[in-house]
Amino acid sequence: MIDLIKLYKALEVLKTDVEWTLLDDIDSTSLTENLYNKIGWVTGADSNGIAITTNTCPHSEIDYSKVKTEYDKL
Amino acid sequence: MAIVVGGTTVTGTQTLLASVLTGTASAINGSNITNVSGGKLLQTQSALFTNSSAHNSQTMSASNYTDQITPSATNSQIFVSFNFRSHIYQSGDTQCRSELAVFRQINGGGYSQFYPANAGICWGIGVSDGERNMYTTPQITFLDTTHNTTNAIDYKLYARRNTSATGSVNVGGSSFQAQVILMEISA
Repeated sequence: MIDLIKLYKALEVLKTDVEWTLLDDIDSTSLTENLYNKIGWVTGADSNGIAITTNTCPHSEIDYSKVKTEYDKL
Repeated sequence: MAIVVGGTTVTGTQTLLASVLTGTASAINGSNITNVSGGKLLQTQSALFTNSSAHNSQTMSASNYTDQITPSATNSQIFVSFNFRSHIYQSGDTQCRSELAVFRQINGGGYSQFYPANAGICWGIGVSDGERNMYTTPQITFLDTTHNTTNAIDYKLYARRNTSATGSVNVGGSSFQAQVILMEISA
C-alpha cells in the first residue's frame, strides 16, 4: 500500500499547503507515474461543497519526477 | 361446513389434538395467505474495501467507500453503517482535524451531503506544537427516512480537513478492512 504520509510530506516539501486528493482504488504498493496521475488537484468547490479537482497539476513547483525524488528520500 | 376425515363427516366445533397428528405435512403454498405480519427487514446490501484515499483539502472529496441499495417502497427506512479507519498526520502547527460525512445520491442525480446534514463528524486534536500521527476507527450509523424513492440510492463517504487545520487526512490504509452495510427496513 502506498504510504500516503510520505506522499503528503513530499508534496509539502515542494509546495506548502497544496490541496489534493487521491483515490488509491487499486491498493498501490509504490509511487508510480500512473498513481501520481490520479492525484486530484483541488481548484475550488461546487455548490454541494464538493472539491473540484483536475488531474493536470496546476502548480509549476510540482511534477512527477520532483515528487518521486522527494518521496524516495523519505 | 362439514369436513370429511377418514370417511367420517365431522361437523361443529371439534378439537384436533396435536398428539394424534402423525406423518409429514405437505408443502403449503402461501400465495393466498393474508393478514400475516411479515418481518421488518426487507433486504441488506454490503461492501468490503481495503483500499485508501487521501483528502488533503478543505473541501469534501469522495473516498472509495460506497454502496447502493434500491428500496422496494418509498416509505421504507434505510439503515446505513460505515465502518472504516481514519488517519490524520501533521508535522507541526496547532490544529489537526478530520471532517467526515456521508453523501447521498438518488437515481444517479449527483451527490450531496446527507449525514450529518451540516458540518462533518469532526475528530482530531489541538496541541501547541510537534509532529503527530493519529488513527481511529469511526463507525457512522444513521437512518435514512427521507429518500422517498424506489430508485437506486448511493451512499458514499466523503472527507476533508477542518478549515482551521493543516495536515494530511486519510481514509483506510494498511489494508484495514472497511465495510458499508445498508439495510432496508419496512415502515
